[in-house]
Amino acid sequence: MGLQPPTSATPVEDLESADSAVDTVDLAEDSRRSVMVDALVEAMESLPANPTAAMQVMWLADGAKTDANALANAIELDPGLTARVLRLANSAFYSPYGSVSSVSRAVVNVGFSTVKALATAALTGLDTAPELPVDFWEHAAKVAHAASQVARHFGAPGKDTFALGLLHDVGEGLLCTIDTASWRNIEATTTPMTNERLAAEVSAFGMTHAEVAGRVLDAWKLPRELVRTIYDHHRAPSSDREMTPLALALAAGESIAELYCDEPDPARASKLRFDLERSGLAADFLDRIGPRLVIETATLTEALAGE
Amino acid sequence: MTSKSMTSDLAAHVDGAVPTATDAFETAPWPVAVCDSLLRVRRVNAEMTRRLGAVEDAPLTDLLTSDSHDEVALSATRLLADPHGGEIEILIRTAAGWPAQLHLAKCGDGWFSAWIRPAFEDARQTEMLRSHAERFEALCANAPVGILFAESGMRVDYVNDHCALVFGAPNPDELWGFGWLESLVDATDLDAATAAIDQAVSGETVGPVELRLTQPNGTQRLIDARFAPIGSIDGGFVATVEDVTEARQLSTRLEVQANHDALTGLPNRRAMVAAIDGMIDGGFGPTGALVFVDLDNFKDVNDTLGHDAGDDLLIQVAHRMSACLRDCDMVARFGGDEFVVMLPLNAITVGDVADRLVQSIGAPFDLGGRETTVTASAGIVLVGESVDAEELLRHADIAMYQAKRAGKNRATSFNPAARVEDERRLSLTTALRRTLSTGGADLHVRYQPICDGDERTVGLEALVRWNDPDFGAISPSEFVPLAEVSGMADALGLFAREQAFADLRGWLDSGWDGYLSINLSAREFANPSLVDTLVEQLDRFGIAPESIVIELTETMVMGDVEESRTVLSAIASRGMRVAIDDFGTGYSSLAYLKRFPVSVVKVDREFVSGIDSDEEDRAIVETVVALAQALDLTVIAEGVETISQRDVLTELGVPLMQGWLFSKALTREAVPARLGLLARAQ
Repeated sequence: MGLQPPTSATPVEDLESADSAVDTVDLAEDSRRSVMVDALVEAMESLPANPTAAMQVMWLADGAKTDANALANAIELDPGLTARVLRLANSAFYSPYGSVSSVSRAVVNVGFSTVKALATAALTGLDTAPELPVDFWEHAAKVAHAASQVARHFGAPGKDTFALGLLHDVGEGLLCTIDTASWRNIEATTTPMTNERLAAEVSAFGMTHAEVAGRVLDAWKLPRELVRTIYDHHRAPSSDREMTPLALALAAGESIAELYCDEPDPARASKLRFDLERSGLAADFLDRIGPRLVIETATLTEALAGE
Repeated sequence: MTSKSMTSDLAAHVDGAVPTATDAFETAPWPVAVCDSLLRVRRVNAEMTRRLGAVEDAPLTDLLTSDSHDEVALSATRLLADPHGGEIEILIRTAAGWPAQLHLAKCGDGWFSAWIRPAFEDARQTEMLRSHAERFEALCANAPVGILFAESGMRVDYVNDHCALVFGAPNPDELWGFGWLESLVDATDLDAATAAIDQAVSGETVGPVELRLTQPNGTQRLIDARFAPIGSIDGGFVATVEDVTEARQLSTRLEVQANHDALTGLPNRRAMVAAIDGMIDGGFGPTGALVFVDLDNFKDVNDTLGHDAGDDLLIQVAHRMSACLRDCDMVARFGGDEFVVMLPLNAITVGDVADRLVQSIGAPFDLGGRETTVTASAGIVLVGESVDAEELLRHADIAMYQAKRAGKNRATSFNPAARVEDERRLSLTTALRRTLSTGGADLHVRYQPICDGDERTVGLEALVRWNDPDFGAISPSEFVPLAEVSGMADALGLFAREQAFADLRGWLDSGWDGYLSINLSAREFANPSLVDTLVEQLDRFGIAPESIVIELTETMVMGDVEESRTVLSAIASRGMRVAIDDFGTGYSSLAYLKRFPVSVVKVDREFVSGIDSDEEDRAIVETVVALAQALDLTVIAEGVETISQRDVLTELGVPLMQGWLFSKALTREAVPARLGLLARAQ
């Protein structure tokens, strides 16, 4: 993907009229996409064991007067979510020196945004899904961590950036859950984060994973900017769109994660470095946070994936 | 109006040729320029000229503030290198300072189109937010205190440069996450640090928490960290850290200095009083005891071996005393050669402990290769139900004084029966110390005329008098010994001589040709610097040594005959004369006197008082006068109160006399009249 994904000014309505990196679809295709979205949302709603609790958590996490205790009370209605929040809060990533036993304390440790991201994962069933895209949580963890590390540079809030990183590819998980065979075929025949991959997604599902995620998360009333950023995160830069700090941080997080965790070939690494430096991130800074990112992401992935 | 009719109306306005691209370029509502591959402006539209004053062939960057030049150049390079073309938007400021979006796009091989679109409300708000953020960043970056910030939870995601400095980290980002705790804070302090963070993210303000840390270069530092919640509902904290290494070291040093004796390292009086209060408050009074220890002959060591040896002795005494005590006991140096031991649990065996202390001190010391023996007197007091540390110490001091009076080198328990007398002694000692330290306002010098047979005043004996505001007039027989035992004899003598020499100077200047007689105490006489001090004072006042007579008692000079002879010879060699005071009451050995450079013998009032009625007294005086004449000594009779006494003394050949018959001791103001100086001046 590009380093500077543009975002739309409004969520769902604008999403449908937005430019796309993939081929423009005709009306018939548009109709097929609409049907697919409905099917996806319907499938999502039937997936979670206790959607009410996770949904409540998501709503509460946005409440201006919600405190950690209230959020904890909602989380505790979902044993799976409770376990995941506690596991994450007790990971070396969040709490290397002590155990966290209360959910409210765990909420404080990981932050509301991350709790909301976990609730979203629970709502989509991804936390318990038997089939997930290859390295799904590892990718989410490293992008989330990397993006949060550079969030301040772009003027983005670190905790929201972290949540965004966790959720940015939730669409892939959804597609894999809905039609595992088709997804595995896409994985086998295309390379991640290429136009070829996106085209294959459109061909198989009628839309990209970013579009799927954008629509589903919008339906669940996640913050507009978060939805917009996820929806647009594979779009090429456009002249009439203003780049948000959140989008810039996510893009940089993806590049950093790829550069330091995925061992890209020299040409790719050089391009990634160029893009990152162009965005104002100094090379020596990147080389300091890169190695730490690799180490810390491992503990985060472990907690997220429950391995 | 339908859409169809509207289209027709619009079509009616289409007239003539289709406008060219140039027309569109020129009429564009925003500044537009065409630039070459070096970003040199080659064409500009009217808006570009009107709004930005752009001119052709000038660099595009001339239209922008300098902070965006690099990014614009980098973007152009990137676009040129991209075979697929593309476009980039950059937030810039025009040279006039307005925020704007620069839209840079490739238009043909090696050419760019550059649109500059003013950024209105959104951009202004963004600018305001950025401005606030920049202020916050600037505040944090320049704050003279380390700042750590965790947006949520415990993971730190901002650290300012000063914090990196405190931690000795080359870059702030190395402290992000848990980096500041993991690699730098000492393992023993991690619990305290994490507990404080835990409280802060739960909404409490914590600190200062003292944390030890080891910088990457191995330097140990001490920091004070303060933690506070950041106010959001989902946790997070801000911490400030301050390097207090030097301040804490200084504070510790000051604390040690304030509570310890610099010479011996023992706790001082302040610390001991606090410890006694603590013992009483802790309920150990009934089992506690104090021992007040004072070296019996410390001044002798100081005077004979020097102050360095004296200091060495005090250090060794401190070690010996400490070795006699248990961990729960405490010994403090109160000043000079006084030590106090606190025994919280030794009330029953305090006598044994005190004896052990005295015996321990009584063993010989090696002072610079010279074996020296000193003794100590110890006063014991049981704390009992007392709640006043100062009173306990006073009683222990009294007990110590009782031990000295009982012969020294022993320990004595406090005897309440002797309390009144000793408390007066202690109070007078305190009062004398106070008046001497404040210039001696309550001390006065009086002058007793010494007369010849014609009752002419040939000399004046200087006598110190003390009139305390609380105790009234105090006899020299009471306060001089006090000054001796409490180490104030030198100060008292110095004070008296300063005043007397000043007075003498005035009278000599007025024409008087007599002499001044001054008394020395045993302590002063034993002071090795005595002669130098006397000479210095005389020089300072311009007084000839021949105008001075130094009075000493027999007892003083007979203590160490050889030493006395040395000192007296030094006095005589400087031109001063030596008088033996109270002659007849001590050794009365004229044979010894012969060995000393003595010039005057003063017959004690004890013999003078009965000289006109007691044959024995008369015989003694007669003998003294005869021997004195044989040795060429001047004889002065003291305490002459009657004419009868004067006549007998005259008959016996005593040339000089003093006593109430001639004059009482006079104030300085009364002396000139006595000397006839007033008449002479007139």
